[in-house]
Amino acid sequence: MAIGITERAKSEVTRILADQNMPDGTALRVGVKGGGCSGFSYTLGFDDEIRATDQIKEEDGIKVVCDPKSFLYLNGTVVDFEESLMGRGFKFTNPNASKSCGCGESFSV
Amino acid sequence: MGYIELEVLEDQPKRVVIGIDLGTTNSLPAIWKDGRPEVLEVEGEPALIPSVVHVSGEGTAVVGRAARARSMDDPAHTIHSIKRFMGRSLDELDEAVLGRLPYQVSQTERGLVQVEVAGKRFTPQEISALILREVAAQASVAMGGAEVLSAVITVPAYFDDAQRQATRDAARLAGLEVLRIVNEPTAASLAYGLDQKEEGTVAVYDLGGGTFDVSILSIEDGVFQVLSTNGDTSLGGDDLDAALVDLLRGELEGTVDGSVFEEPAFRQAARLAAEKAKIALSRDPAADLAISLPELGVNVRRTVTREEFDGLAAPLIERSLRCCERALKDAELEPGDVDEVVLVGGSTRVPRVRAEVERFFGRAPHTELDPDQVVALGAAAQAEVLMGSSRDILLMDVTPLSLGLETMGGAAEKLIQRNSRIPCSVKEGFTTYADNQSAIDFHVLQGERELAADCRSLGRFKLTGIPPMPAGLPRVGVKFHLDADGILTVSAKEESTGASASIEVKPSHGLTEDEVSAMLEASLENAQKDFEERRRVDLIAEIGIMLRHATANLAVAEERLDRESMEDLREAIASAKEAQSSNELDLVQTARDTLDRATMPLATVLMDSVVKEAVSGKKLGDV
Amino acid sequence: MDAVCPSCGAGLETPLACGACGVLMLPEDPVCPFAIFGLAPGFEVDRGDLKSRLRRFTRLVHPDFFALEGEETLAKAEHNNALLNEAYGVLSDEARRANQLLEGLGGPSEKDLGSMPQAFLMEVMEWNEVLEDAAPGSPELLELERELTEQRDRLAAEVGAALTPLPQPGGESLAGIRQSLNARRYVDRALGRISAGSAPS
Repeated sequence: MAIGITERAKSEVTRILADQNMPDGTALRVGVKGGGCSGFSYTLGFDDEIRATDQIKEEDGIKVVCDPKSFLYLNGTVVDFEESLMGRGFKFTNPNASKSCGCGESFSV
Repeated sequence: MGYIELEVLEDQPKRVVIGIDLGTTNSLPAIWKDGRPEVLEVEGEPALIPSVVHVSGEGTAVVGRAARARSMDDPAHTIHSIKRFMGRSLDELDEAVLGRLPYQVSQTERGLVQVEVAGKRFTPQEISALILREVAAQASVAMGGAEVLSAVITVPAYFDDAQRQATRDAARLAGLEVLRIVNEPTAASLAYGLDQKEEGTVAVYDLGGGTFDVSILSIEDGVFQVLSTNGDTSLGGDDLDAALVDLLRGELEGTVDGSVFEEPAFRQAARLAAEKAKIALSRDPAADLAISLPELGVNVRRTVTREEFDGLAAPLIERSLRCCERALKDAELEPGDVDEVVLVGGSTRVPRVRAEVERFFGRAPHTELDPDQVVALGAAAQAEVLMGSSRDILLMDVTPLSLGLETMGGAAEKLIQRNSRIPCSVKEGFTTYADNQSAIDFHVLQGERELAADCRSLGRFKLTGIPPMPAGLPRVGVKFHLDADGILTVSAKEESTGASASIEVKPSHGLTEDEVSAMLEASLENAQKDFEERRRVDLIAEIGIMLRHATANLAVAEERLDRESMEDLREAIASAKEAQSSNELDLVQTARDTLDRATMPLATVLMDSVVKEAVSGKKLGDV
Repeated sequence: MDAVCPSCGAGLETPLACGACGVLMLPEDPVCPFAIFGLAPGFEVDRGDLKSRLRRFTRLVHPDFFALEGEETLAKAEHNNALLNEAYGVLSDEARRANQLLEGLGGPSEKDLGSMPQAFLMEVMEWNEVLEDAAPGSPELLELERELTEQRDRLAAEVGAALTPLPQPGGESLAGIRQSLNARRYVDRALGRISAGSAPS
């Protein structure tokens, strides 16, 4: 699946897993929730229950899981970890978010 | 342990999507809030923005109430009802309509309508963009500063491709992403259906300022399915005003010179008087129709009774009811099959309209929702659907007009029938009639008539890059796709070789991609200019304040400052005074900065003395 | 149906999208309208069921629900919704549905089957004369309308009977069905002219 995770985010996940003594096989669960006129928002957390319909991606021992509905929204996004004046925490970036026309040779009358 | 949620950093402002009813007379934004659509309010009033633009002699545009306020004293520079010209060419427009306009219109090289005001030319798209910008700005104020970047914009259901396209281009020029173009009656039914929670067959009768629509829908289990739609994009309240204006002109005929009728001041005054009388007649049994323009020698007053007005309105209402008949026929229904009738648009306040609609459908129409707000409310509901919160509500809309191609001999071959559900696609195969023919020309049409010349031309396009082959061998597949906005896209492919043919398009009544881009660039430039202008004005104001202070304390300065500082101050004051009347931003900025620096020593001295005076018990103001 | 969703493995009702996880598919062109509606080909179609499937499947593919997902997914939704609407158009119209079945069975196409019998063409010419001359609402026209409606219903019944149950592919009865369908086109066109003539203009 195509949800990415940056090196910074990976090391932070590893750190939390170790620090908090989370059980083996605990995965990073990403998703979206809500809606409303202000749009959906991203969710992220740790989960040791993985469902049959989940999308799973494992990289450097870190498991990222996502339910299929959320995956529709998250495909192409990257989980990053940021420490700055703006705050410290995980965030989602979507390089495909800008709308560009991929249909090539079509036009509008 | 289960699931432990962490907080996610939000690095982008939350996305706000508003619904906009872009009307002929007024425009209105609405938003989804706490589970229902809500009209946005500024200072406790619905943010109803008159769709009016005033352009001053210097080329500065104001929009909305401020613009409408100028319509009497500066009619030639005040543009109203621009929606009627969206996606239209000048030669399609009714002479009588043009004859009543207080402002000037002309045509572009390709025959498109443009407005000429204060020596500048604007396409209807550009004027609409100004209105949309103002609506977005007001919406932003109403939402406490949230930036509006995306919108759902409504159009009359009976708008054709060119008119929809023009609306979308206007939004682009206004810097708005259009998430959906939704049909006004469909939006109204959505607001109504959500409000009344009723199901069944609904007829929406929408008589606005300049357009008429009727849609027949079935509402069932959250599905709003449009069965058919019909209408007239040049029938609306404006026409009622026009009938009253004609009454006024008739009254004046012979008493004034005919050229008076050409005067912008007369046209505007007559229009406003007519509008006022029309509104009064929805309430009272009679109203005064009066204008007084001493400078033109016009002074006329006459009483119009409700009966007389009904007589004027009758043919227009009749036209709208013919549309209703056609819509019912297409839906394979009788008037009696309609469970509910919903009225939309300010013109449905006219009592005669209500009575006739009631008579036609055999039931009293719904009026619970404000006919001026219901479309914007529906647009906000649609925005909520697009934000993906749930799939409980589903809108299934149709295309109002058939779509076709001109065939040999000038006939119109229909590819997509009117009232087809959108989105829809049709694939047609074409071939060449000459050996090595590399291009095929198409003429895309919209309308119900049999002859191409009687349909509306959407555009011509040329398919090129067909590989050289004997006649009849190439198989070019052309796909016509009407999207969920009701806008056409055409793509093509040569199927025997797989070579994609390229397409060149010339819209008949719209802007080309290049024209839109050029306008966008120009508007960005203007935005830069506007920004600089505002900065210059701000700086000059600041200079003014500093000069006032400096000159008031010049005596103190003389006494306390060293010679060099004093010299600097005098020079800075002199150049700042000069800069006050300058148009050069750089010069003004430099003068302001120099003055700021040069007044620093004085400020220090004054501050010291303030402290001393304060200590010695004197008041600050005495310094 | 046996097909499963490549994304979540759930069974598929329509090849356009997965009802379980919502992922959009890209069905291979051309798709049989019956398959799009998850139905076995057959002349009898339950209109209520067809409508409810249309609503259910539209909820899966309508572009409104993919507005924020980038051009590519949005284009897929537009495409699939268009396929769904087109398939509904075929299945909800008796004549188009019969045509679809006939083609699926390898029967002759409209053009394959040369011209209509002479006697029928004479009849068509008579209709045309009435259509040219008679005023809207006149007794002649009403009589013709009644006659044509009767003929249309008869042809429809013929075609329906011949297609229920579905005949063998390539069978001999197919030519006869085509002839009835072609005749129906003439009848429908004439009826269309009557209704266009009486329509408010």
